[in-house]
Amino acid sequence: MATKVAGVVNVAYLFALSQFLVAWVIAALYVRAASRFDAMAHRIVENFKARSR
Amino acid sequence: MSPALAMFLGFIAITLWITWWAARRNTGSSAYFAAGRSLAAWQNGVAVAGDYMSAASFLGIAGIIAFQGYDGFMYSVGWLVAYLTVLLIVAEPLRNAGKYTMADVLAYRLSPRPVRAMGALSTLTVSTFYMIAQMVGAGALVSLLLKDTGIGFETAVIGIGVLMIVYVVFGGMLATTWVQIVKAILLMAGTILLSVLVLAHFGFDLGAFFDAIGAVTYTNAQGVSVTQDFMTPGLRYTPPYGALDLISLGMALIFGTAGLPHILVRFYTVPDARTARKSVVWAMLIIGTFYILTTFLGFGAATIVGRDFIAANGGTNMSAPLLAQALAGDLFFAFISSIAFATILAVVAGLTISASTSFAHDFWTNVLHHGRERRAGEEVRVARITAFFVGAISIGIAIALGPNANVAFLVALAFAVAASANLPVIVLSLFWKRFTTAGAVCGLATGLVSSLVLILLSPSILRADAVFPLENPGIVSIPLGFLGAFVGTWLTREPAAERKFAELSVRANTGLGAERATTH
Repeated sequence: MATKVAGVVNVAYLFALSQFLVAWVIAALYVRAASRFDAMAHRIVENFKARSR
Repeated sequence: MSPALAMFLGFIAITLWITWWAARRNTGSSAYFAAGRSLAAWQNGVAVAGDYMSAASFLGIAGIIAFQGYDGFMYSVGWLVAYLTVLLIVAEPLRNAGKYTMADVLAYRLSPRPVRAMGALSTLTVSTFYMIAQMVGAGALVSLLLKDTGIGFETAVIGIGVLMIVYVVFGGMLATTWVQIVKAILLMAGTILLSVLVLAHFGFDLGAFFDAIGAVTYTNAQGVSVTQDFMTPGLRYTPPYGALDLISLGMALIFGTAGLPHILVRFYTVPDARTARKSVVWAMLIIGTFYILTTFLGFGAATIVGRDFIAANGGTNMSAPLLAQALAGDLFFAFISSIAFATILAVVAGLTISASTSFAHDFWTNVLHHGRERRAGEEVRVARITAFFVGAISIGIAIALGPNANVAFLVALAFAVAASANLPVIVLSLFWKRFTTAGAVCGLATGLVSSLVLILLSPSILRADAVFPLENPGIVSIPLGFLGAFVGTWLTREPAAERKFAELSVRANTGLGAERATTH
């Protein structure tokens, strides 16, 4: 972990920083998937309303 | 009048005006407890970030990095990752299934009175511990920052307590939210400005900045001047238990953030689950940026101000304000100090409203009076009175403990309880059909008690005689909390709760039947 990459910057610091990036990327992927779930939920509700009419 | 005092008073004036404005719009329970559920995604997102970035983060983490380098930065990492739990698992179903509190979700299909009573107890425990930690820290800090004006610890604690009571009693959730928003914007502005000034100090040459971090000179415990590479891991978390303690802290953050009552109640202030999701994304952008920038605050203080000077001028918590003074003089010192003050004030207000909402809604209305208000507006009135008492009690305890009390463990305790008691039962009630009331009560109780006992046996309290070697109990207490919930469930059956699971699933996933916004 203490291996230097550039100057004093070591693997440990880059690893710590990478967690911020990973968190943001996972969040972005989820938000994309969730807009698909929103559409599915919307369809289910519409179907239900149409049938109970 | 000193510039610091003038800026403090300026912030107080703005927040009191917000409270007055919000008080005129507060009509009805949903307006008072949930800001009418009509906040925009960015507003709630900024407020979530404001609720979360406490003075412990702004001053504390900058201080740990300034003193212990890389290991201090490791402390920054878990705070953003924790929001993935909030985003992926909790925020949307909570918004759809609940009304004002965490226990609403549990009471949806479980027997309401026992789970609400335990939920309220857990909420009040987390909020009170967290608040006392903030108040003691705040009192010591404000008297240090304002030492030229003669404002002492007690005056500072009483002042902060009275202001937070005023925001919550008169302004409710709407005022608390806008205080958070103003504070979050100030905090980000201060942090970004400070980071830019640190870079400017090194001629905007990142290489020069990191070279300086590679050779930080300070006086060690033996009084010898040493030069140390501050990027090296292992300056704080040392064997034999250091690494385990760090993992335990990470677990408490990742499981605990999504169980903090003052963060959870924020998701009731938006119109629907989609807005709740978007507000988490806003919060993650702000929180991530802030914690990355602690690199500049902490290492900046280590390289530009130096450990020895900070230790001689107020200690670790003064790292960020002293850095501001070194870079841009007294006026900037005053600005950063007043931001720290605003930070504390906003966080304690958020804690107070979540505690009083839980007491009024869960305990008073639903446990004592079977879910019915005897008079219109009773719930809000009870919450206001509770807020007053919560504030008064916190002032009393903070003054009794005094400015030199070591209260950092109270924050660890609050996160441990949130992670070990609250999160397991929230997740299981949302996703496990077989889950029962006994399981919820047993899980909450096991998580609460095991966190408390392990902290009492830890080095934070017993010092060298510690029975339990870690300062963060999460690694043991979180599995125990889940285990308690499982055992309680396996020993009982609750067909009524199982039948309602389908209804809860539909509501949590589609928003059908969820509480709607009341004002526009």
